[in-house]
Amino acid sequence: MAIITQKAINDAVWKACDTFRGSIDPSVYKDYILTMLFIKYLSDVHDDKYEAYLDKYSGDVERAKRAMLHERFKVPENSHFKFLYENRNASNIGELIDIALEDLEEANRQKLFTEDGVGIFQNINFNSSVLGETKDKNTRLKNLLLDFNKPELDLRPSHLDGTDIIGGAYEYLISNFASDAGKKAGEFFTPSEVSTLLAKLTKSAPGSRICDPTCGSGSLLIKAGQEVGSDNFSLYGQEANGSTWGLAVMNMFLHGFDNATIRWGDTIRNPKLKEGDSLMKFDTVVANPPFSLDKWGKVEDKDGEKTTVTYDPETDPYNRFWRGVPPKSKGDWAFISHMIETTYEGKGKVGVVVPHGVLFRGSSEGKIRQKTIEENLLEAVIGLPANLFFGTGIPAAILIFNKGKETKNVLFVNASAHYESAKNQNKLRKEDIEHIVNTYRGFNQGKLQPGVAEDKFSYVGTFKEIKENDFNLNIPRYVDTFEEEPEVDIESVQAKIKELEGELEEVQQQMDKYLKEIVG
Amino acid sequence: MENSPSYGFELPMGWEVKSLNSLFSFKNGINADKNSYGSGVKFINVMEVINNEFITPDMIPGTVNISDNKKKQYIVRNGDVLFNRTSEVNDEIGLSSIYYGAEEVVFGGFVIHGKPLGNRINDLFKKYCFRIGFVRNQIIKAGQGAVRSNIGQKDLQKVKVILPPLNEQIEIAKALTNWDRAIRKTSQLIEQKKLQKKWLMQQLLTGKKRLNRFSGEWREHSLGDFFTERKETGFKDLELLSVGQNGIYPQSESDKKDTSNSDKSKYKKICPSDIGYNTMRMWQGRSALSSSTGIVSPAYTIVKPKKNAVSEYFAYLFKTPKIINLFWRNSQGLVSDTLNCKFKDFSIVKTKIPDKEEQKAIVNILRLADEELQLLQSKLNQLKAQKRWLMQVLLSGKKRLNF
Repeated sequence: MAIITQKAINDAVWKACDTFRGSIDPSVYKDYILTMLFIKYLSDVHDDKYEAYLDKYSGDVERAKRAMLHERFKVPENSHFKFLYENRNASNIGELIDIALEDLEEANRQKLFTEDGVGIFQNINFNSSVLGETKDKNTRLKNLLLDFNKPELDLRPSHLDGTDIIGGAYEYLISNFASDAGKKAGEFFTPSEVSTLLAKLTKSAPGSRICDPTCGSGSLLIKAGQEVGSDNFSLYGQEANGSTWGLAVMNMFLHGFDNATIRWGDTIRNPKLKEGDSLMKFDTVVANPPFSLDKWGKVEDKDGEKTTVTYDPETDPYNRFWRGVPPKSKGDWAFISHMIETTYEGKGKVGVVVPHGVLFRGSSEGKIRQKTIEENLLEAVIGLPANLFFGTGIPAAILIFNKGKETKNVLFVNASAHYESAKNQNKLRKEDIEHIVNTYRGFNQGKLQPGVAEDKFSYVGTFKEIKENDFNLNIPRYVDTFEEEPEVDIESVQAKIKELEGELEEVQQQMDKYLKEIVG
Repeated sequence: MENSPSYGFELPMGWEVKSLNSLFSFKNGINADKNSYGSGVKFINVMEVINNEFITPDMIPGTVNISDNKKKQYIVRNGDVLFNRTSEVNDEIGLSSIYYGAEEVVFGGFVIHGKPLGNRINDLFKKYCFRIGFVRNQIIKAGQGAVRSNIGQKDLQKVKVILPPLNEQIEIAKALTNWDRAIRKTSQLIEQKKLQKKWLMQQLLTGKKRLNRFSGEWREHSLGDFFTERKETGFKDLELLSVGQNGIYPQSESDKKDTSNSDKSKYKKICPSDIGYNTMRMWQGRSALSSSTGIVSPAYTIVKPKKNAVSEYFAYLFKTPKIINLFWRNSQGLVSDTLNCKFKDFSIVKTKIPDKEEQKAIVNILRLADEELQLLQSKLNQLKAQKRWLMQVLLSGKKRLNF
């Protein structure tokens, strides 16, 4: 039996995209590819297990089938990839796939439905005209099934080289979609190195509740979970975009995090992670929220003359914006406020990726910033290199808030010059991540004194200094990267001047002679 | 008959007017494959010809990989003349440059090579004889082209040059060489004097070296302790000033195009001793001291010295890398193009500043250094003018050397 490597799977999956490339936008077709990958995986796992039981029960089909009922996932016959593949020439193949998904959801209600009864495949429609007119659509779906039927994509765990190979393929695909589709798809993807850095900075203890309130496809959440170092943690996420939410749920299963709770909805207007009427609290909250989101808050429902405000941050039912309401056109501090409000008092930690404007913009944002600093929540400000993210060159920073802070100092790190430059995008290397994480840990453990911690890299600022800077957190104000210019070698300059003046005198005497002769 | 007055002047006995085709055989340079550049034999490119009166091997950055056979065809030897075949502006077409060197080099496609026929011109004299007005006028007239200028071998061949006898050529070249030396030495002296001033700034503006009569310790201050912002607008009738790298002067004297708004009501008033800086470029050190009253674009922040500040001192200080870096650290914006150093940011910049008397004393020294530099610069300009005049009179035979 041949062992299948990560790269082989990545290549095969990427090839399957050719079926759509050019005619359908990657931000649309990614959902079809990833959903098919999910079906294929469940089907292959199912077959692998079934064969193992058959073996165990010496070919007793009934006993093997009975044993299958206790497996993680139940795969109804008509939801199995093989069934779809056999029907690849059917004129209603789109409909057959939709039914397969519905039945798969139904058979795994507990896992694939939200508590409000919405299934994860609700946003995917294989019978949709998005895929073209009937004839085109059928050809595309047939090609898709053919691509996934290739031996390279045999995803049975017993064939796989490594435990997380599916998760890896999933991530590979998502990151490739992100770079392929540019900015649009970049919105739902945090580069894996940034996720790793954030997960390490906020490293959660065993038993932690970890949340990403804008989880996208869930990769940051997965990294944060893996960083715990044991299986003892629980993951929570919320995502506003329906199809991205579906991906996140599938992603959790593919990585074996069956107990993750991923909710669909707008985190600010409709937070779904609640306990009773209150927002759920977490040990660790991490996020890469959309940068400076416009129109994040107030919702007005206009009906003729009548206007009903269905949501207004001024009267937020959870009182998340008591420090101040961020400006309508920039949601950064709204997400940060939400994150701070959903961490446990006295111990919770927040790690958030933000654009630099968050560090210095004035008016309402300045006031909120000032309050969080006065409350002694802000622990670290870390400036990242430019060009790390898909589709945007603007430099980002990471803010760490800690509700169990011991000193009033704040760590500033300028990591902007520490990266490897790749073709279109810069990349954080392993040593860059370690450098930042070690600096942060040293500070967090009280090992760093106020002032320069590492020349041109990190600085421990006191509350007084930050106050003197008007609560402006602009990193260059704290981390000095100035290179002193070399001092002029005045002795050699003086010597040269003397020499030149002597030579000039000589040549001028010569010139005078000529001039006397010529001018007369 | 070549001495006929139709040239506009009378040549001394024994002097000749010769066309270039009687003195040189011409050839266009190598057009090698793109991949052949970057290694191999040194080759003279068009820019070296345009920028230098003569070329020595160490002045040639380019190399090209060609066969030995080809190398033989395009070789340049000591004393050969090179003309540029193309230039951006007509005035720079067909400039001559002489190769002085033993090393075998070749020449590029936009260069015309003149290989001397016989030994009619002295090698040192060649540096001068193709660059006088009489010759340049002919070449510039022959240049063609709308966007760039070009000259072909055929037109170049017809150009006439004036040649004294060989022994007189040598004497004229010797005389002019003195001016070349003086010009070179003066330029070098200016460079050294600039370093001297830089050293003075490094020492005096930081307090590393103190003048004898001052001893009190420098205290750290914010710039806001020394300046207030002048935000006076609505002076439409004042003269429009331009803030440049070297100071503030009337827009009418600027060589930059006037891009100012026709509505000057928002323009800011600036007075003598004020410092104006470009709010969005202060992180690059774009500031200048004003000596007159006028108005400047609203893109500038105008700061007015308080009683304890000698603004000339600060004008020098604001040009030092350390303080420019502080302006950068105190500017705000997402990317360098949007970095802003408003008065509020400017005023909190902290640095060590001496008291007013010491500021004045330091300014006096730096001002002297500046004055000396200006004098040397104007001396350099005069030497160049002298050399031009000498070439005019010596190379046409209007004035002659006794030898």
